[in-house]
Amino acid sequence: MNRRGQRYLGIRALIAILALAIAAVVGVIKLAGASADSHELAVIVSVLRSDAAATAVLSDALARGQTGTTFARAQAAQQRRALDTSLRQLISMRVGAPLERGRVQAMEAAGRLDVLLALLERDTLRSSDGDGIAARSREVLSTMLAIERSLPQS
Amino acid sequence: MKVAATNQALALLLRIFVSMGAFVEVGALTFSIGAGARFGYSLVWVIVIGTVGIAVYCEISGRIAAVRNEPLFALIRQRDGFRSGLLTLVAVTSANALTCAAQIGAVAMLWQLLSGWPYRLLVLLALIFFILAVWFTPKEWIERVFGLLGLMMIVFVTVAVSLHPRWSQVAATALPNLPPFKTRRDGLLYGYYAIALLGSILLPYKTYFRASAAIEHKRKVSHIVPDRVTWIVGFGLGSLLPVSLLLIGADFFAPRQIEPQLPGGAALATASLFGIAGMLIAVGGMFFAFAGAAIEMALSGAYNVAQFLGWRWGKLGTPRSAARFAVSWIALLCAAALIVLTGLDPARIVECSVILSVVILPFTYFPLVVIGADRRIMGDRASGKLIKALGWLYFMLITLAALAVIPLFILTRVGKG
Repeated sequence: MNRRGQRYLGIRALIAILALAIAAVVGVIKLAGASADSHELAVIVSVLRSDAAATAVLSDALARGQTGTTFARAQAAQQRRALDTSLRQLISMRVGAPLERGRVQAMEAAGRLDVLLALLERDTLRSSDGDGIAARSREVLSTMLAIERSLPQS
Repeated sequence: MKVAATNQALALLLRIFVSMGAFVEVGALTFSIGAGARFGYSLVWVIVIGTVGIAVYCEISGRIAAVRNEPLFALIRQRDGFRSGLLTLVAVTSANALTCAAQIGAVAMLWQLLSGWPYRLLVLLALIFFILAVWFTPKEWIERVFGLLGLMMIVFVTVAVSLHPRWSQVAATALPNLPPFKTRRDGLLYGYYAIALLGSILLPYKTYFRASAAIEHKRKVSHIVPDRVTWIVGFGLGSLLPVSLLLIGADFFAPRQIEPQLPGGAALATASLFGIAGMLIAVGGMFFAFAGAAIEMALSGAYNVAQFLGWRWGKLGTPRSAARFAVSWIALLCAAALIVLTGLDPARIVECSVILSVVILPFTYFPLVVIGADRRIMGDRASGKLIKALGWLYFMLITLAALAVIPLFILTRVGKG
């Protein structure tokens, strides 16, 4: 095979590899989308629980004088931002519809995590154990919000 | 004679400490703590494997620089041609920009913890700080100041030890192991963390930066052995930092059901044990380590671009003496800061930067392994059997990791479970 032929063979191979890669990615995304409802809810609860516990440790450290107020407030705000992102990501992965994403973004603009969770409960908690998980989420969230509100204002 | 020997020994010691202090960047910190919080000690072996891998690749790149005294990307272009070399360049530069963005975001977050100022303002201030620091500070001082002060992160080793880890279990997990998983998803998540942790230790900027630095500092064939000692000892000691962070994740965060995603979480553990002084040392250490990494990434990207395109390059002279090189590192820093300013979540930037780096690892390390073993290029100093075998073994490992990471990224919902 001459050099030109070899080059075209290379291009065909490259196209084939790209097509296979795209097919694999699409397949994997579909597979991920077809997973069970309850799992995402459990993940959300775990994310919330982690943040609530981190906020509690922060609050405790502040009370013992182990951190300054600036550090505590900035860390709490950073945690909140990360939590918002995680929840939005999980919700859009779970719901997927453009309308829902729009509503989630509206809630984000309003800066209301509690409203975001209410939206989550109403629209996505439809599995058999959804109610129980929703109650636990609500409980964790309210604990977290209470701790954060107890932090002194700068 | 004795004085010269003492000076050489001190210089070697300094290089070892600098390598140690520069071992951890924000990706390694995040994934080490996260791995510990989720899977206990069981991923220590990944840090061990990653450390040996980065030492092997730095040895190869340093040897190529010492023997050929030619820039790595010039050799890549000569050997592989413009198009193939360009693919490697684009891959490495994209990863550099994203990982640099992660460091800038992390530095701004650390400053926010101390000042309470708005995050975006701090990102802009960090950008200005980096440009001024690289512009005005001589290169060897950049490495020394940030590398040595990054050693303040040793406070994490103290925290890990004071948490009384179960040492026999830690030692047992230094070898590859698979803990029992409750669900299939736990297994996928374990794989995701293992690959991400490996990728964060094998970030390619380390090898390219050190190869270019070796040429700038006129390292010769006689320096190959001391450099080898620097990589092995410096990285070996440096790996104690991610191991300690993993232990903190397992012994401090896991019992409290916390999965920290941010640098402030690591500082919180230090504060809880050693109070405000501990917290300040931790924040200071992280700042110097991340800032040093950001500067190395920007310079590494500029070295690669300038070397590939045949521009004058180097940080030893004034910025004017290598103007296009200077424009390249400034552009890379600005691009990185812009990525952060788009409003992307810093924790996501860190994760995505490591994942992208894993995807491009084979592209970046393949030329190194091939050139290092090529007797036509390296002569008698071509890789020996052991380095050659390790180079290819790690190449296979990173190729497998690169193939698996995107499916795992999706299946685990960006490591959420």
